[in-house]
Amino acid sequence: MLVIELTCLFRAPNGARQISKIEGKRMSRNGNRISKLIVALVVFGLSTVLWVPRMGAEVTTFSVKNYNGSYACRYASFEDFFTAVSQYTPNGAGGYTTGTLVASLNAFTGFNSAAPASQFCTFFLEPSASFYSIDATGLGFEELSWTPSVANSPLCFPAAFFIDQDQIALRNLTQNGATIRAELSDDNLLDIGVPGHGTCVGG
Amino acid sequence: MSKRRWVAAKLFAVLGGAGLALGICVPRASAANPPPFSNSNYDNRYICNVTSDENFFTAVIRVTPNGNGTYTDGTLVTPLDSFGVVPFNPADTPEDNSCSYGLVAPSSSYVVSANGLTVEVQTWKASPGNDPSCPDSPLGTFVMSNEIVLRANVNANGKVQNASISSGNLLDQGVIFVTEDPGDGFCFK
Repeated sequence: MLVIELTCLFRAPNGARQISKIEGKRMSRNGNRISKLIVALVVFGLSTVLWVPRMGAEVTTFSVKNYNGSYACRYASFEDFFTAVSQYTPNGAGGYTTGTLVASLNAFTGFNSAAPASQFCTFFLEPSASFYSIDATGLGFEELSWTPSVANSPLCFPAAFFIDQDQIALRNLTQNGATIRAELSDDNLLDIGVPGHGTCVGG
Repeated sequence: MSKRRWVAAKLFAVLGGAGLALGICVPRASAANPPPFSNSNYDNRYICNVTSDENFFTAVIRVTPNGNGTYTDGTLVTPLDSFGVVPFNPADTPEDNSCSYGLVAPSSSYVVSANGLTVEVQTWKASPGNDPSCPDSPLGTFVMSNEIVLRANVNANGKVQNASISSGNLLDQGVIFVTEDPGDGFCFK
């Protein structure tokens, strides 16, 4: 559009041949620019597709770097009587950024018709007292220190800080280098002192 | 000259666009393949989550079937306090609160049937650092047999992505407690 408008300005006094020459030069120059732009865009697009780490990349040697980002987890222990879900963020360096664990209050007292939020017990991760390790085969351990929310029902258990430990195994499928899923054997979920199991899914 | 450049640019754009579309749209990771299966479909590295006795006994497992009916290696880890002798101790490291076992590859094997049903026999040896209350510790072995079923969602190399397990004698509890419930679980590539 701009090309057409600009070429129209040169039409009046100089004769048809000269106009045609100027138009030709301008067309050629603009054509060059556009083709360069197209080339740049195509090269950029192809590089993005080829080089950006994608879902489905497989890891063969593991480290703490492969457990990184936000994970949603579910746990059950004591023959699946106690259950909980959590969201936490291993930082790819053996520590955690944040974490929240929510367990059903119903395991400790009778269910009632109060608001759903009051039917659960919430715990917050203490990153400074929590850590994990991953060996080269993708197996590892984690220690998670949880502090109960001050808003918890007095019937929630435990009422104080507790330590949970897990044995973890990472899937080798990764997204941006982080595993998409980890399997867990859990020890001391909710400070009950019995084994459990669970799964964490990334993303 | 100008016309040629335009044609070249258009051609390049069309080819680039096609490349982009292929890169974005074509599924890369997996394809659903029907049976028949063979040992070669169960290959490389799998992690498993297995429980028994109404999920009281739990273990995470890493095994590396080699595609020809045997394994390269494997590790099984379970909480120590499952075995009723040593309670969970938050002052101990996660490693000390666990029992570990290594797969004895020469004594372990699997056979995949054409329909994907697979029999595994795995011999596990207790790690030297295990607490004596861990089953078969120190340095004893136990045999665990699994019936597994391979799912048809194989990857581009024909390897199965996940499988379901029915387990016999997880952590040797089927021998120690004759009435122990069998285990179950799943494995992911």
